[in-house]
Amino acid sequence: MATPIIEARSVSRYFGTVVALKDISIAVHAGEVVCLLGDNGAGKSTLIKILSGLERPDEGTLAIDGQPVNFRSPRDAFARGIATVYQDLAVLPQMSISRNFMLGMEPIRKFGPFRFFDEAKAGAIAREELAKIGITVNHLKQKVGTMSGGERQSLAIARAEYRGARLLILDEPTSALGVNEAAIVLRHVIRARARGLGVVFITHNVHHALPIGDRFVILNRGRVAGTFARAEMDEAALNRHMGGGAEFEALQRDLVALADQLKTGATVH
Amino acid sequence: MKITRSVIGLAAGALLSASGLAAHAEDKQLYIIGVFHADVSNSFSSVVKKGVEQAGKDLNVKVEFVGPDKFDVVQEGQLIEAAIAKKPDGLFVSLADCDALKPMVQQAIDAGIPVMSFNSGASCFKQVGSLVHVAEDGLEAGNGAGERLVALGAKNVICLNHEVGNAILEDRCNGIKAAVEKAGGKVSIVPTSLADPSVTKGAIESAFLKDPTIDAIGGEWGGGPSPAVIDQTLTELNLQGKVIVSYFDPGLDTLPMIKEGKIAFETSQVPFNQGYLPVEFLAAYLRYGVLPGGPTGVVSNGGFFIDKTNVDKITDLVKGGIY
Amino acid sequence: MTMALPHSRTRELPLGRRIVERPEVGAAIGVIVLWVFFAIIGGSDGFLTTRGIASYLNIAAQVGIVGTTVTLLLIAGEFDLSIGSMVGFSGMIIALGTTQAGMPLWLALLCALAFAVLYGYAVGMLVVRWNIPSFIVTLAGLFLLRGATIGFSRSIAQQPYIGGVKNAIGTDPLQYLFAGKLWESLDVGFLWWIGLVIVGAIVLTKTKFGNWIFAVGGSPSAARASGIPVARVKIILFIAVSVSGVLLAAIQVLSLGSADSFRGQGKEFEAAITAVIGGTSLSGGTGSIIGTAIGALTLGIVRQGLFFAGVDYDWYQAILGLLLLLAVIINQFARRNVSKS
Repeated sequence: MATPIIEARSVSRYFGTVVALKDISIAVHAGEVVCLLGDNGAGKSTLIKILSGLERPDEGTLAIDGQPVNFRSPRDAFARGIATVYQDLAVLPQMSISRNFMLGMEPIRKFGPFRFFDEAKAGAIAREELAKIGITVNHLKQKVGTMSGGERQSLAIARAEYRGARLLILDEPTSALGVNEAAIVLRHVIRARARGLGVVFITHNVHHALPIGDRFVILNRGRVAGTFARAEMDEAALNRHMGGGAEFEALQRDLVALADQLKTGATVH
Repeated sequence: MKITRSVIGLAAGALLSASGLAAHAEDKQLYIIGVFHADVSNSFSSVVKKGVEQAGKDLNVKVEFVGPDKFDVVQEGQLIEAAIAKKPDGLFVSLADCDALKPMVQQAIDAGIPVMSFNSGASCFKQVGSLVHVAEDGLEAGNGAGERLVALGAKNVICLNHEVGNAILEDRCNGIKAAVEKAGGKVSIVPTSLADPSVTKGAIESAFLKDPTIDAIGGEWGGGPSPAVIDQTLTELNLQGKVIVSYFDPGLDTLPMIKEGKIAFETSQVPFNQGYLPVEFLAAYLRYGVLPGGPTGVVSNGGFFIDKTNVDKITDLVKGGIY
Repeated sequence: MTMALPHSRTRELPLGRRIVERPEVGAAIGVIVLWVFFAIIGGSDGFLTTRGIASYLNIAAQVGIVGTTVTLLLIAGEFDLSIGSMVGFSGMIIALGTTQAGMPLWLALLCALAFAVLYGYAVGMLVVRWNIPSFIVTLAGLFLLRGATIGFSRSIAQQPYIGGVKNAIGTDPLQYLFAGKLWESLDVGFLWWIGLVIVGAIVLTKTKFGNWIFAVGGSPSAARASGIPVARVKIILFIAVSVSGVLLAAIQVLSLGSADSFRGQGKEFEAAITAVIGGTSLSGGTGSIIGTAIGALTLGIVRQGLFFAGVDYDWYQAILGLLLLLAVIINQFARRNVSKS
């Protein structure tokens, strides 16, 4: 296989006595969607913070295009084409669509010694880029807060792509969305892959991961519990791995027993 | 008779017209505005206001007495500017800061409105353009209070000041200082707070802690909240009767303390007059062209002592809001 | 280019709704109502004369100068409680410098300016680098600067009041940049205010930096993730607020010829009130410079309107409180329509 865009090699991260990540290795290639799955507290968010340059690993290294790197900030990571779209922080609801889209890379119109924000140009770019991912925007001055959740996520993804990202890290982009809204986002992920981008897709929803993932990395308690190719996966298997398999089955048994107890009016401890 | 009277009337009318005053000048209602440097509803300024209103009633003058919501010279200046827009016949202002208020007073004079001053500004009212100044001379009053403290045996005085920066309060303390130091004593100035009694209490406690030889208190405003705090503090420190207490400008709370002997004396600047007199003087000036105060232009209105001998009478006046 | 896809849900709001949702609109309606009210009851007493109008424009100008920069800072999600004390302290620098140290006016102004830049930078650093809430840092600043104002003036000039500035600077033409009348009794400060409002509004709505201000206040993490130098934006704004304090101090000291330890007291709240009346949110991310200008005008009209109407000043603060509450309620309604997140 070709050199991966980003590769984590035996990465560990500790917070005092807590082992947040231990010996994690993961690689993402161009045109590939890697789904990062795991329960709350499995280490997903720590891993993406490391991949996106927000935190540094205590052990292990990162490599971009096979070259070891040391990110000092998200800006650093971004300069190498790694863009992260966070679930809730992606966009600013009080600002207009075009301003959101061009945030941090505003086009400038010079007027004598003064430099103004080029609203028309920003609007044109935003309109075109959003159209590429299938969102028609008539009113670019509309506040982003008036868009649907799926559209907001799509806007954030489109923006990251426009900014030159080669690898998108999407942090729970669908978890707060309904079925139809999630579908919009998932469609964009597939399109991004088709354009040759690498995608790290973080979720704890198997239904969202399964249809788009090429590979699945399952984290459990800071360790890789398993890495599977598309072909070896089905929903049942994924579910089993995700919840920690046996643990989840035990939990199921417990809950059934509790329900039975309540039905028969037995004392509950 | 009839003829004679009308002849005299004509003559008088001619005289009045000649001197530039309209006939029956007294019949025409005048409009006079007073502007103070702090709020006009505290226990001091409300008595001034009473004097203003009484003068308005007595002399057929429409009066207004206004001030900012707290000590604020900038706002006072803005109020003077607004007052000019109301086109009054006369204006009187407390010159808490002559440098600051001079341009506004000048605007009034330019607009043909005569200006008098009261309360603050004894040292500078002439330069500002005020015709007459009705006030206590802080230095003089302080000096008087200081001499009296010395006569009562004071050697180490703390002078309390609740509005550091207010010229007249600083002058009072400086006056006390001059008189006491002249007699070989010592005066230190202690800032207190009107808004926060705990500050006042702490300031006095630490003053006595630092220097147990302090034997007199002067300067503080008797009508404010501090005397009650001071009284309590002295009791707690077991100094009641051992320290000579004196205030400026009495309030209802402090007058009984004079009777009880807790307070030796108070020096009054007679606030009622500070409201009444400027209205009266302005009315007289506007109607008859006369000015009081002689060459200095100062109508001194302070340094009045209240002690055991006259406290009963003053108490009645204070209860009537006229003091 | 425009593919009409079924899931596009942005729609144009009717013109009426769009106008109502602008943060300034409620404030503008309010100020007109107030003005008409006072014109009716105080009109015959001088409220409508040029001098009367100038009197509330002058007040609006003074609070508006600091209100403008405070608004930018609020939009960026930070607070400055020390601006009133800054006015007092920098005024004292100018007065002490010219009267006691014998400095020429330009030097005294430069000293005050330099101090303000340093102070704003220090506050900004404490807030963004050490993560101390600006509320706390500037609350400390409020007391620190006020106390220093009294302390310095007392130890240098023996009293917390410095007069004679006009004598000290003589005929220095620089003073006419800050003091004096534009026209009749309208202060030069009015021009500064209008200028600041125009510059502030352009920076906020028409430049990259303005976009960043909104973003920094709306969501610092989103801003940071978009590569915006959050720390730099905030520090610049803290400096801008302090510098506007110097401007107001210069206007006050040079037109009044004196400084005292009370100057500027309460301006921190008045500035915040004008901003909130004008539709700026204390939680950051939204606001308008024009709105703040309307808020400042409201303050001036209420303050002087009460006087012209012959109402006791005792009610001023109560009315201000009421207006503030009203403005916040109106803004809350307007905002509910915009943001569902």
